[in-house]
Amino acid sequence: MRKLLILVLLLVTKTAPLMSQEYQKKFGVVWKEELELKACPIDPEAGAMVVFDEGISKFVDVEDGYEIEFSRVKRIKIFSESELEQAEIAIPYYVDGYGRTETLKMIQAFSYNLDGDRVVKKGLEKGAIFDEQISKHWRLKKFAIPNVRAGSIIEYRYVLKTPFHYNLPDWEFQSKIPTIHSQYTVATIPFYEYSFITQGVNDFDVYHSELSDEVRKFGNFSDSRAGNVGNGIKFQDMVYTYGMNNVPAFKDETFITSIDDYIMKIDFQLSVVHQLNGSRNNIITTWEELNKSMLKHEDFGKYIKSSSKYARQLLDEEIVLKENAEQNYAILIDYVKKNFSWNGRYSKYALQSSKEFFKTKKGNVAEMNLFLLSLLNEAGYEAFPVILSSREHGKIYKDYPFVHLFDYVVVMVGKDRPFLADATEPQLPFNKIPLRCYNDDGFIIHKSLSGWINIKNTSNSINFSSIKLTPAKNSSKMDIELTKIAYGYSGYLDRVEYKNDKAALANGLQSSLLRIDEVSTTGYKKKGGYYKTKAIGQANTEVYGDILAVQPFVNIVADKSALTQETRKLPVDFQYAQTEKFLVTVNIPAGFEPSALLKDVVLEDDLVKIDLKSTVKGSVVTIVAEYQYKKAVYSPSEYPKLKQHSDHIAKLFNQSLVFKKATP
Amino acid sequence: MRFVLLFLMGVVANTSGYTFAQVIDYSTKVTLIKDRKRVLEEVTLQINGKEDLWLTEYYLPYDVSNEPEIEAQFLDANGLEIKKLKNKHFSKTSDFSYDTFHSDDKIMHLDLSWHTYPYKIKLSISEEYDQYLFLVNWSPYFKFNAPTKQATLQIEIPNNISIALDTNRVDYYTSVEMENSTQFTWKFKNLEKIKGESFAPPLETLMPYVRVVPQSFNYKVQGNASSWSDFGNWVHQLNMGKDVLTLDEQLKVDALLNGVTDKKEQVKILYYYLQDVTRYINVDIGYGGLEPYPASYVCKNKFGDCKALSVFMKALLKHKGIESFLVDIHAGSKIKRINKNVPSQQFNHVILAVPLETDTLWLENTSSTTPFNYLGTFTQNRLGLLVDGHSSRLVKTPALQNNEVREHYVYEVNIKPDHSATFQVKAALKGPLAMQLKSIDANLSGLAKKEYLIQELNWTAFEKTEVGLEMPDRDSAKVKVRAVAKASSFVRDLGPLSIIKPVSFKLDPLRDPSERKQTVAVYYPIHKISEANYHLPNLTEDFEVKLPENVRLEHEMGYYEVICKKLERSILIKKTFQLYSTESESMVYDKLFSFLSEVKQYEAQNVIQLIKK
Repeated sequence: MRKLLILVLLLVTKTAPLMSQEYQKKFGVVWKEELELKACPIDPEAGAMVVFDEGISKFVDVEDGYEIEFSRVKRIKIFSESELEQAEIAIPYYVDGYGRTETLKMIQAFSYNLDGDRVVKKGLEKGAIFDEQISKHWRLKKFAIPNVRAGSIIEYRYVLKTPFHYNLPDWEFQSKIPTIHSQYTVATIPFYEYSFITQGVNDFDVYHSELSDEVRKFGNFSDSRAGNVGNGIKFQDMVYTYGMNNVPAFKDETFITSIDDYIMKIDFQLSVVHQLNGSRNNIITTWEELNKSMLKHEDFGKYIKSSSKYARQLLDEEIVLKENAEQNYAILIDYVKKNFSWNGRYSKYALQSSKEFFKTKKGNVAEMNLFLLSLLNEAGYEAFPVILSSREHGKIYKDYPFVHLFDYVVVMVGKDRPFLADATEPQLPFNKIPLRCYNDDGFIIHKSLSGWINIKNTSNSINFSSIKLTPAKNSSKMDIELTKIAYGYSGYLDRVEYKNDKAALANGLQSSLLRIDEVSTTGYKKKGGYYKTKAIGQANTEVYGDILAVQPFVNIVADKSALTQETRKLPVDFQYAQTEKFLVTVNIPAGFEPSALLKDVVLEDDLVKIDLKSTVKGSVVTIVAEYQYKKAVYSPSEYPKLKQHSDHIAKLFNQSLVFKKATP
Repeated sequence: MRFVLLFLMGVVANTSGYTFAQVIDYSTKVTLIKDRKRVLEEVTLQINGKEDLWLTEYYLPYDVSNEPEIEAQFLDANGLEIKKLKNKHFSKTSDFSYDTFHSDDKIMHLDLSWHTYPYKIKLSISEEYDQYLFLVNWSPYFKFNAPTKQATLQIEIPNNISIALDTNRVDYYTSVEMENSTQFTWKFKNLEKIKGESFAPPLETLMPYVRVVPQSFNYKVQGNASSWSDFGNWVHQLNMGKDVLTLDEQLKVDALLNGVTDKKEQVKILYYYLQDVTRYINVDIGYGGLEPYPASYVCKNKFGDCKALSVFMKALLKHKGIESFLVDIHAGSKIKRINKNVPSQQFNHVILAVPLETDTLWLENTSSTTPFNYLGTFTQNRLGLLVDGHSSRLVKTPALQNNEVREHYVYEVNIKPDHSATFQVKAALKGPLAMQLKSIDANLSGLAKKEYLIQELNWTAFEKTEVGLEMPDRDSAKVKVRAVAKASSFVRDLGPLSIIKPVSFKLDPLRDPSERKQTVAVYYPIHKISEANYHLPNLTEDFEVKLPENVRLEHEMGYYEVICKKLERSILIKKTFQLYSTESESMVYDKLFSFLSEVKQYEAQNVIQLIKK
């Protein structure tokens, strides 16, 4: 559940009673009883627990204004060796390369152990804090807390100072180990107003807001008997506190978008800057404002404009267009895919100039797709940028106009029958976007047509397998000819996995074929069409006396459902709806006759469709079958039924056809 | 200090009608100027299309005080220069690796992609070293999974420098005598890419290489590699004075051993102490790759890498007057060949040997779960350098025997009228699987632990599995497993027949002999026994039962045996699988393939048949 609250200067106090056991919370002091604790009271199987994790963000005076000072103190009790890595700490910080940098100071860390009745405290050695560069702008401070073993308590604290007022630190109340107490305090000053989103939190155990006792000054200001003198002001911080107790560990579930979509947390975004003269500068207040700011942005709207001359150059010198718009869309999109390369990085902003991108022909998502947009526009076609949040980046919530929630941009092409395009994946057809982009909604950036579009994946990816089986009558082998034609995203994923590589393909067929004599692919280069693989070889049958059994679907379908959990709290996200179709023909060996065919099945509801029918004509058994998962995403309430169907599919498509020796 | 290029892993596309990317030329020149070594590597890469871009990403680790000089020249199809890149164009980050918490080395990311195909890259990497253990440690593969058209190594060695040569899969070289030096040249042509295979030697043994070892060197301290005793003495010098405990730790040792007089027992108590209070963390700074942190570092931090933890263990023993020796070793389940004739740095791990009157104790000091005096597949049966000053020598670690790798499973299977079955399993396991389970038990918790255990035990076909581990004795390499599980369709109906497929062994898939390129190496024996008792309540009354055939496949590589018995209300099937340890220079893969195929065929076909009366 998410909520949007604007921090306002109201005095609200609400304190939930502490449900958790009381623990010592003073840094540097632990109780013997805490060290003797053998298991987490709220999760006895946990290998460790966060005893407390407290953070405070406040604005501190610096020479030219304010910096945000974020202080954090965290204590963890380790119960088993499996969680010793909790004592290896890495804290990221940002350096902008233009003299402005975040700084990490006052790092302290201790371990506590019991030696008999004595509490042994051990701190970091001098020189034990390492600085590492992880990218151009990001650094890490790293340290390993000494003397840590099962039973230890560890704690650390640090102060992060940031000149970037946009970066009011966010806070996660939950992690992969349980948390007894997590609390975040934010002291705001009247000049900056933040919006925040909470996720996964129904009700805070601690929530209060109050005016700080301390009176602060800004600008030239002094009190005198004649009254206040100067053009500054006096103010008090508004202090907000959010706390959660007894937070369970976040346990991973399969088929989810991102842990970030579900973990309990609070995110902040600068929304308004108030000036001394009473005016206000709205950073983000509405989607309309966000739209305008993107259009004006140096690395977005202006990038599109600046790249148009290079797009024009290509259209004048290299690209030959046809009459038909549909054809030209394909020509232009495929041109970018073929002649430019994606560097693997997501971004909604260009990081290099359009000139540089045009020269290197390699760039991030924004550089690739915004350039594509210019190319389409220059060719006279309607095309708009659509910003979105990739699956691993988390969900977008339409109530919150936060630009940092987006990390990706694609292009909406055409006006009458618009479609989305992305130039980063050469293996996809021109009118398909990568699976990573399907994450509910995207926002169109446009001077007059801005707004939301749904980017749910409604396409159904189909695999069609034609299986021809000729069992031998005198051995437990059968000849097999297996042809698989994959359409849509299934075809794309097969293309990416197998390319045109026979060895890789043979490897992928090992569960179906015992021996592979011949393997080939068709359609590798035909991105818009199907991808076909064909294999000829041998597989096992089962022979027991007069009985010959054949597995007609040759292990293509897993014999156990991937949905193993009994219940489910989160949606099941398959990314795309999928259909598996089969046409199986089995040549009955001479001297044998069918003994047990597969039972015909027809089942359809709003979740799945299953259809299986077998017939015998002469010496050939034919099975026409399909199963279909109708949705890309299933809700937790649909899970029990979905699991039942999935178990059923696993069983049905792993049955055997049985023949017996014909009586003479 | 490293001068090896690391690469992004990539997949080589075998595209029909498409000429592959390849290394056209890889040439390395090594020259010595006074005591400094200069290495110039020049590589020409041919990139033919987008499919080849995996070959254009390089990660070059380097010592921050000694940044290599890089130049990359891009040439179009006509040989005309497109652009040139130098150091400033490449991004640099800290050198992150999975097993190192922190390293002071950096890594340079060379992005050599271009957009017009085909094109060539001429890459030049120049590095200088003032301290080194090898004049050359070179393989003609710039990238082992790319074919190489031509590779050349040239080294000019002053005549006053004594060297030793260590080569692998290298037929010849040429040498030219010059005024004060000799120039050696090795040339290779048309090398195919190398791919790992199962039951095969490690890749580094399969690759050609040339190593030139200076007999005298200065790496942190002056050293000599004329003999293993000399080389070991250099390692000894690096470790000198580091095996001293802090006073606190000395008192701790005294307290732990108070009243214990038996030497082996003392070693054991101290080993368990090491396991209980320390953890493996590698902080690689300065000469960290070879020079250990002193024992006092581990006393304070209670962590370290293999060298530091071994030195700490040595110091614990030394404090009680127990002599022990560091043993440098090349760890890995596939055993790398150590060239006995060329004393040099051929190792990547350190263990400890503690001589007793009649025996030697071997201690692996980085694992909290390894039993006392136990060397697993990681370090067993191989040569290591025992470091003992001028008496340093190569020693061989003990080999895992059959009884040390045995896996014994007992299944009680109750079959229900609805064709489902419940399983009660007891297993007594030794060897790599037991060590893996111990490690999972210690390092994972909750659902992840359960899932990994089921995966490792090959019980994924079961449902609702509950697994419990018992470690009967800390000294023991045995792990006991108890499990209960279900299978909802254990009995399959095939027309008039119902069949039960007995629980089977997990055997890795093997490639057809026609595709095999490498020799066979089984570095430790595999021995599995399973006894499964299948209970059917109305067995004799309701069914005519046909048991699987008894079989014994005797083979040069091992044997496989199945014995089936019909009891009053159950069917007992005992299976044994044995693969002998072997390392063969000749191609015996056909034999291995044929043995394992026969076993697989039997496992797939032989079932209990139930014919309803």
